[in-house]
Amino acid sequence: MKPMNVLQQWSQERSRLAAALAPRTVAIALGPHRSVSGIRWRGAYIVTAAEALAGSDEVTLVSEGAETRVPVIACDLATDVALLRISDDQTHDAPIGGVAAAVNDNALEAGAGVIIVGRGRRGARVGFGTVRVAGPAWRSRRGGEIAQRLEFEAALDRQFEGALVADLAGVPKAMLVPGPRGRLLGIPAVTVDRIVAAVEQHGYLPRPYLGLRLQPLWLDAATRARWGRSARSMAAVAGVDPDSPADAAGVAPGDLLEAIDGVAIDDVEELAAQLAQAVPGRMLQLRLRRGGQPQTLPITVGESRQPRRQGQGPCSQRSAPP
Amino acid sequence: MQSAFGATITATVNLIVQRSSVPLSAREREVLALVAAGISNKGIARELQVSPNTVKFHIAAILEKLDAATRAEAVVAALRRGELSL
Repeated sequence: MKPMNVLQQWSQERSRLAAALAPRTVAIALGPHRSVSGIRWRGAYIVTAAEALAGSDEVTLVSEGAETRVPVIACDLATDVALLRISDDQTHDAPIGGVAAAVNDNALEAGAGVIIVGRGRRGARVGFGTVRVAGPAWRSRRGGEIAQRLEFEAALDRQFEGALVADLAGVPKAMLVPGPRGRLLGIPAVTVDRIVAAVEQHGYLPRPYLGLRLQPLWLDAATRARWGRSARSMAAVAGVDPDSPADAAGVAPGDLLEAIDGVAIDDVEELAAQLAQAVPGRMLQLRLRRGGQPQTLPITVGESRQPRRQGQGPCSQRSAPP
Repeated sequence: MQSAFGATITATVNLIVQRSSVPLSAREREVLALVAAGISNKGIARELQVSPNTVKFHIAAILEKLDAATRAEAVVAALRRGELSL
């Protein structure tokens, strides 16, 4: 038999990689002509793009012509990660181990090649691309803390929303989500895993809560110099919810927030981002200024009241109402 | 004496200040807090025992008052204005 030339080998390697990753993906039908991809993360959990679900309580999984309704368990608009749960008898064909093992591997680097595997109604959809941007951790406009800035160059359609991005060794690295101006962004596996782990632990996504209402306070140059602050504003406590963790800790209106657990807080979005990563029940050190004097108050993270009744979806819709 | 130009600017500034500081009603704050918690329209309607259309109506008013295009934007704007707690 004639030996394969290098192009044939290259091609064969690509299809092998695609075939190995395809079982990790599912198709999620959102309407008669719209579907997105999801990733079998681990156990009974499927991960997809939160934006795509637009407030649904339940979605339809399509697999080899069969359709199953599955509930949306969690929906974090800040990181664009949503979780679906399949029933236990459906998890047997899921890949063993899930994606978690890969999250501590090296981060992707700019210029690296990636394979992007999604699924539509007609089966697996595969694309190859390049890491266009691999930057440091960033905060989404909605206050989501995302472990690495990832942007890809690839020719993909909308059905790839929620698809799996893996390096060319087949190690899962990110979930693909659409960004502004047609950009293809990746939500790193570590960030997705943080949400999955929280849901695994609690059965839903807990929302950490302190009970603080904040407003920006603009500082003049002299005050900034005196207090050794570079940011032009501080978050001032405008109100404290009664019987909240902040109330119990003794935070008072007029206090100026400086830092939480050593991380400087300049505005309410920074607090939101820090808080999103906090675990309810954990104690944090809240550093603030009261009457100009520095003060540190220990505060126990609470959990915001979350009405959960049958059939109630955890996602809020993204679009403005008519 | 103030010039006509100065008066126009003052009036415009006043209008902007007025527009950006229309406070949310108590009900609107309640609705927005549920939006912030990631609850769907249907869920909010159930929680507040009103119709989904009433929820939509409140949300439209909230978006208008906060000059926001999306719910997520409205939540951030309300947090910044001290109308929602964290």
